[in-house]
Amino acid sequence: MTALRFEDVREGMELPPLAKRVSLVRMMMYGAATWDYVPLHYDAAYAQKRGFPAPVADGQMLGAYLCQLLTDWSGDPGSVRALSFRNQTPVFPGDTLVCKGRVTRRRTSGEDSLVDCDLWIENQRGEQVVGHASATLSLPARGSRV
Amino acid sequence: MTDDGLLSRLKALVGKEFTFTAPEEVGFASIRQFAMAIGDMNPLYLDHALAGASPHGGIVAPPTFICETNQYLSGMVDDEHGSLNAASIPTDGVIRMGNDYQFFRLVRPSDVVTAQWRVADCFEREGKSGRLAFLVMEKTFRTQSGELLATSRETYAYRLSGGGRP
Repeated sequence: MTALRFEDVREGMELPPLAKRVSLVRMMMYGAATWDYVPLHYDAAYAQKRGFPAPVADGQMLGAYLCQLLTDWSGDPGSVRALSFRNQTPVFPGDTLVCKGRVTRRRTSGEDSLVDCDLWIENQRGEQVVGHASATLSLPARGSRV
Repeated sequence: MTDDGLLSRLKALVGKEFTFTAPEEVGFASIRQFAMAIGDMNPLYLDHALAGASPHGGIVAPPTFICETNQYLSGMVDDEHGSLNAASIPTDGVIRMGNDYQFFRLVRPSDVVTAQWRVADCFEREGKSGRLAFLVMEKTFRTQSGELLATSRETYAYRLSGGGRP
């Protein structure tokens, strides 16, 4: 895997989008992997009693998707310094999501070469299920050791 | 519970701290299980040879993995909301509003993680469908030697009036 370099990045650049299909099985797998047994994430009757049409995906699972969007692009999970996002619309089994991002700023801070991005996740209806999202990556720059 | 009962219970939590220390190391299997669950087949999470030859020198975990506190609980877990219940934080109808993460170094299988929670704030807002209460949590994740791995600021919402969801 080649690591993205600071010089390869331009402001306004779009990140290669990442598609994710959310199924009840995927939601169960995330719950099991995080020891999260909240019935809201897999029990339809429980979800309906609380006003949802179907079980709701864990909000932090979408944060993990945004991390993958960043690390697939940068080539190094260690590059992600900060990630913020807001869950805006619930995600249900059967939803097809696309994670997207755009570079807003390149900057240096001390010895760090940093890239700021705006991020968002859309569902198959074009709704933003995650928005007000941003991240900061630290990338290797020319002359630095990778 | 009445609205005011829930609100005063949430407000009483502000400033409280809770600590969860994993009873053992993170391990390779839990990292693999998380990577498979999110469908991220990055070889740094899964492939010993490739990860070993990388600048990380071995398998590492996806950044947000350690910010899930339930994995540090031991003993009996309630049927719902393990770590929230362990911290006496109300769980019925809670909705996650989002996260602000900062990452300082990737977690490795040999790390033993301690999660420190602090209830930072509680406030009310009028939402589109009624009155909501918000609880803001600040979580810090460190290794057994006190090295800072990550922080997460999280907001939970609770509906205070009417039925349905926030």
